[in-house]
Amino acid sequence: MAPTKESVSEEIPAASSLGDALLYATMCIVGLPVEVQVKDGSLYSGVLHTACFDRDHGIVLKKATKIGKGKCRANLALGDCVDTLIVLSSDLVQVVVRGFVLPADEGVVDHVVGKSTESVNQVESHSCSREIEREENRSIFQNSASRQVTESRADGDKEDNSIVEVANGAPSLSPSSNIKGRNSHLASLPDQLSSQEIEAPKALTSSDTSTSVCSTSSTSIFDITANSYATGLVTSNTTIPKKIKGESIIAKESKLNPDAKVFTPTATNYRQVAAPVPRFVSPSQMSNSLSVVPTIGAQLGHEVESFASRFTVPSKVVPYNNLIAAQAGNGTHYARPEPIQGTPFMPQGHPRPHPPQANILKFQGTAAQPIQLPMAPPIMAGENQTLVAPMHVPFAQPYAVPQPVMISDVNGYIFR
Amino acid sequence: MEGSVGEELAVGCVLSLRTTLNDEIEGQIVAYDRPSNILVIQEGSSKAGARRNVRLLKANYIKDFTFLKKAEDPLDVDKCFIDLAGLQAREDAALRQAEIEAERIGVGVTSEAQSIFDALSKTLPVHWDKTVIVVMNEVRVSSPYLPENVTGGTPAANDRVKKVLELERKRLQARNSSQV
Repeated sequence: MAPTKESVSEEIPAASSLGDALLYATMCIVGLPVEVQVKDGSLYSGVLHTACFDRDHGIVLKKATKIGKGKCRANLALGDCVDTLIVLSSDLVQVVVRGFVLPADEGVVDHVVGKSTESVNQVESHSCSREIEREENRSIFQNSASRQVTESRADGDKEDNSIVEVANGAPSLSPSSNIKGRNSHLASLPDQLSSQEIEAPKALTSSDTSTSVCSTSSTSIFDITANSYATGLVTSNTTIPKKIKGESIIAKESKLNPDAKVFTPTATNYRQVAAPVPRFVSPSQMSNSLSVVPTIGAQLGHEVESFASRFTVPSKVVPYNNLIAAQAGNGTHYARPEPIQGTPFMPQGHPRPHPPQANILKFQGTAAQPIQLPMAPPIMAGENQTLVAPMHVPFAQPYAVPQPVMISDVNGYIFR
Repeated sequence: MEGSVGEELAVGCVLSLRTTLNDEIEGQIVAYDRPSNILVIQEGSSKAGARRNVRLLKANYIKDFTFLKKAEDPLDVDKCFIDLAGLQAREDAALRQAEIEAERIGVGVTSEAQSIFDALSKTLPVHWDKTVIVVMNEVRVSSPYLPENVTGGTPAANDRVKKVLELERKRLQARNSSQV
């Protein structure tokens, strides 16, 4: 059983809170394209898959390309691309995420706390370390020291996966192994990776279980307090509150009101969210009781009221132009307002600055075109739910609302 | 580095530092992890349009640094939320995008061929078939990617590809000559 927040609050040493901050920062950048510099000066660009900064672990990049040449000879030539690149912690110099602001920076938060979010246990950081070990164990190595990634690319054979591990300056990773990099087939990478038969080099296998590991594909689970929130939860058994106290809410900038002030929700009303402004309502999907479309922006209070009073809870998502109204249901739904320029409107969340590449959230579901989601979906069907729109939401239908969670306990510690 | 101990207490401070690899970084310390000796730095300012990067830097690669100003801890613990599903989706999207971009790169082709491919892709749907540029799934442009190497497709499509190819080659030649 995970320790409760209250029970461990007195036991948290200051050093643990610092590790939590690094853990949080690393989790925030998982899935983003990053640049990794190793100690010989080489620069690699790829999608951050997982990271562990403890002992001999490191980071794992997916679809990594060498974009900067270092002083020493390396396994990869400039411009080569590999499916999976493992950079050991001992070789790592820095990880750079361009044009990104940490979500919790400067008093800005992405999501509003909600009661309906699931409660989960503590983060299992060792599961992340196991993932790095799995990545290492899947590496393919050759005995020929002269084999290069470019050769494997040029000969045209379609090898499914390759994992390249970067060791500083050495032409081979270990005395008994070398690197063979190869572009993967366009099929699903995780499926291919799991089916790939590989030989694990002894030098790369780690028997340690690390603590500071971050990966979205791990079985990590988090504590969610009563005030933690996941985006866009609407249940079928709740009704939209009829009134939102607009006087305590500062409307976020919208495209209709570029000069609107930054929105900050009140603690008591954080669950009450204004509806977005759908410009088109599909009559076949939307309740005919919805006759007024509220405008997004400063008139949050009365407009939410008007919307809420008319809004009933259908069971599926309603698209309006690029705007999806989350319908009530026991699953996860959310509304996707129209893309607007400028900072997003978060009726029930702390506003967040609008970095150009920040926090591209993607919901599960069928593939869809990426859609800018600057404004929060305000449709709420229950007292205890709040819809929160992330900054950029490539939208797909059907989809599940992501459930942001707050890391309140990490290995028994609490953020300070 | 002896500064790493001081930096543990300096979360929130704005520093200007230089790494041993001659990178110059100016930003605010978001976090410092002593066991791994990693600094988390948020670069840039809060002004709109400023380039804001996040760096995870090993502190032992800091050559020197300058203290600029003291500020509060930028991370608000009460606002630290992680959307796991969103992160997973973001990673999937980034991987798909990387695959698409990787598909644009020809294998075993010259840089000139790649430039021609990139130029054609701006206005026409193209993809690689080994070293052959396939346009609109019917017209094929093989090495050395001259107008006379355009084959296949309807006469109208063929002519269109030839014209676009001639235009793009002229542009590339003009660009190369201006750069020389």
